[in-house]
Formats: sequence, C-alpha cells, structure tokens
Amino acid sequence: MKKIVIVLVLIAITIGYAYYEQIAAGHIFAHLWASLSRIIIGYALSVAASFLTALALSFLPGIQKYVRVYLNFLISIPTIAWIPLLLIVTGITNRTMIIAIFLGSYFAIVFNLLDGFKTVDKNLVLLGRNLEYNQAQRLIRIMVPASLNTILVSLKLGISYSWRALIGAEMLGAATKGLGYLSFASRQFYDLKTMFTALVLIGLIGYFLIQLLTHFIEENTIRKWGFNDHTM
Amino acid sequence: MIIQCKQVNKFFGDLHVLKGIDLEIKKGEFFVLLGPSGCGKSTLLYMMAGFDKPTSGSVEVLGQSDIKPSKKVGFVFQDFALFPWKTVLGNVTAGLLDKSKTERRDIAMHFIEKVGLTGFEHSFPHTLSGGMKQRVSIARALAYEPEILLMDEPFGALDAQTRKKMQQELIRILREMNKTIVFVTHSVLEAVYLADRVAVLSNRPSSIVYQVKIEIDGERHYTDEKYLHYRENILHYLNQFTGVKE
Repeated sequence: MKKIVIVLVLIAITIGYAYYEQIAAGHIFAHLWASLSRIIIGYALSVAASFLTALALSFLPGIQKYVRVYLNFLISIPTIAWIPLLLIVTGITNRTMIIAIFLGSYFAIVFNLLDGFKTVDKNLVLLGRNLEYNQAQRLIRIMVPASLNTILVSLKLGISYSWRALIGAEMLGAATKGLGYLSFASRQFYDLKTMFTALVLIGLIGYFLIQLLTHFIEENTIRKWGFNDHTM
Repeated sequence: MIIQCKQVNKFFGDLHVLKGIDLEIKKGEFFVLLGPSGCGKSTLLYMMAGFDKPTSGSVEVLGQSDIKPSKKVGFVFQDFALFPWKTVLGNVTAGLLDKSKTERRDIAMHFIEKVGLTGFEHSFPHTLSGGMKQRVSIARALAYEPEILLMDEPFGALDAQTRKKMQQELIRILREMNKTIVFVTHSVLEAVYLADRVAVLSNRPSSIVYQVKIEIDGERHYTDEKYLHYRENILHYLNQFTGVKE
C-alpha cells in the first residue's frame, strides 16, 4: 500500500512539474491519458483472451501439444516487429496500438497459465477426482486457486510487456499522442526536458500498474494462504 | 468381500512393480498393507481408489471391477492434500458440495469436533501443525461418509509423538464408525497397533509374502508380549524379503 501511495505522489509531482514548465504545451495529462486508456483496453482484452485460450487448451490436452508449437513461434516474435505490419493494415489509429498491447502480453500469459496448471500438486488433482468434481469444479475449485501464484506472475509480466509494446508502438509512429510519442517527438527539438519527463512518467506509470494489479490480489489471496512458506 | 484383488500385476514401462497380488478384504476390517519404500503399496491403493488401473488381473471394489474414483471410497493422502486457500471448515466441506449450505456446515462441524479441531474452523491450513493438518484431511474424508477409507501413509510425515497420538485417536474415532480401512505404512509398530489384519509386501516386483490376523483383545500396548510376538513375526518376513539385516 505504501508503495502505491509513494508512486502516486511521484506521478503527481512529475505532472505538476510538467505543467509548471509548460512541457508539451501544458498538455502532458492528455498524453498520459492517451497511453493509459490504450493500455487499459488492450490489456483487459489480452487477459480475457489469454485466460479463455488457456482454459480451452487445458480441456484439450491433445490439441495443446500442437498449439504450443505455434505459440512458441509467435512468442519468439518481438512485439515491435509486428508494428510495421500493423501500420500498413490498421494505420495510425488506436486500433494499431491496442493490437500491439494485446500481442505484447497475450502469448506470455497463455504460456504461464498453461505451465501453472501443469504444476498443480498431483494429489490435489487426484482429490478432485475422488470428490467427484466435474471439469468446471476442478478448474474453479482446484486448478485456478492452486496456480494463482503463477497466474499473478503472468499478469505482472503481461502488463509490463504490454506497456513496453505500447510505448514502442507510439514511438514507431502509430500515434500522435501518448508518452512514447512525446518522448520520441521531442528528440527533433533536442528537448531533453520533455524527453526525461516522459521517460520518468513511463517508468512510474508502469510500476504503478504492476503494483495496482497485484498488490490487492496478493494480500487477499496467496499471502493469506501462506503460499510463500512452501509447506503445502 | 468389499475389496478383492486377483492376480494383479502392474508395470510402469519396464518396471515390474506389483506381481500377482491376491487380496481379499472384508467389510469392517482394518487392513494394513506393510512394505518397504517403493514396493508399490501406494500404487495398489491408487488402484482401489480408481486413480490407476492394473496392467493385468483385476481389482474389484464394492462389487465393481471398473473403478471410477468416487465418494464411496475416501482417500487420505500422506501430504494431507488440503486446499491452502480454504479454511479448515472449507476443506472439510469440500466433499459435500451436493448438500445444502447449512447441512454442509453442520456435517463439517460434527467431524471437526470428532477429530478434535473445534475452535480452528476458520484457521487456514498453513497456520496448523502437521498433526492438525492430517486431522483436517481425515475429517474431510469422513465427512462424505465413504464406505471404505483408503489411507496412504497418513502419519508418515508426522513426528513420533504426534504419530502415536494420531494412531490412538484414529482407532478411537474409527471404532465408532465401523468403516472398512485400507492403511498403507512401512512402520511395523504402526501396523500391529492398528490392524485387524496385516499383509506384508516384498521388494519390487512385490508380492504378498505374509498375511497375519492380529488378535489382541482390548487396548494394544507396544510392550505387551503378544504385541511383540506379532511384531517379531512380521519383521522376520519383512527382513527376509527386503534384505534388511536385524
């Protein structure tokens, strides 16, 4: 909680400084919001899709083997490498960036989820069969909570990958607004002040997103369950 | 016969684990499978639970030879297999999802009391000691009222003191319930203390090398002459077929 407050204060100070110095002609918040709104939509889509994919694949172990090959191929393509293609297909639009955000985390989350399900204590799986749980009950009552540690790691990784992808996309000219755009555009004017302000905000916002996402979940789940003292 | 194994063989790849196991377990019997580590006694138990199938031969439980895991057969794991994300109450009700909420709670509270955990209903497993965790898992298995209870070295992870206490309490609890128990252990002391009948398995590929009915009236004490006699006898076979020197 303390960390989140500190980061928020730092963000507020940076924005205040930006207004004081008239950075981005006083429109710093518009740039920040442009990036933030994109990541919220893109990341939400990515999480939803990757969960559905992982759940579907966990029901279909036969297909999973083959899909993994494609996933391995796709995960090897840096998100930045997609952007030129996206620029042609979807152009300089928000859609391009949301797709970039999506691609940035989707494969990583799917992979982590699948591995998380695979490493669930075998006895818990057997217990589920013994208690006559059906597929859905096994999933909701055993697989998901038992692999929550991995799920949280994948969410954290996912949002930081997505954030990177977004900033990259903004820099490669998919946007006319956003923190990545701001930092990149300011190089033409040798405007180091703007560049650094954008840089600091990118870092702080990224940190803030990760904390916000996991702090509250962790406190109410794996901390309470004693997942860290590995005795279960 | 509530459980019947006929010429059960089990291979894991090329590894011959169980060889020609013939077993008959009567209703209400406390049956102990005793054997060295890795001899396949747990595998045999898994087959009775429907978690595994024999390579050849047949295992019949409650008159069924195609065994599907079910709540008619309770299972207690050595490492407790509790849900760390559920409280004691939540764990004990895990097998009662087909019942109403209040019914679930009432049944669970009854069994929590039975295993001596009243006051810990809302504790999470990681705050409990090993002995208490195993009590939870026994309560969970008893709560859904199985006809047979399979126990896979349930006290193997406990210290000697706790283990002895758990044995005494298990006997006390089970005597009231008249369940059929199959109990796996590698402790001869434990076997003689708990069992109506003991079967001794040899090293891999394991077969049953000795079966004995334990007939001691009243409470059993580790120092009784009869108790020691059974112990000696079983140890003799165990050592002979596992190559351990006394």
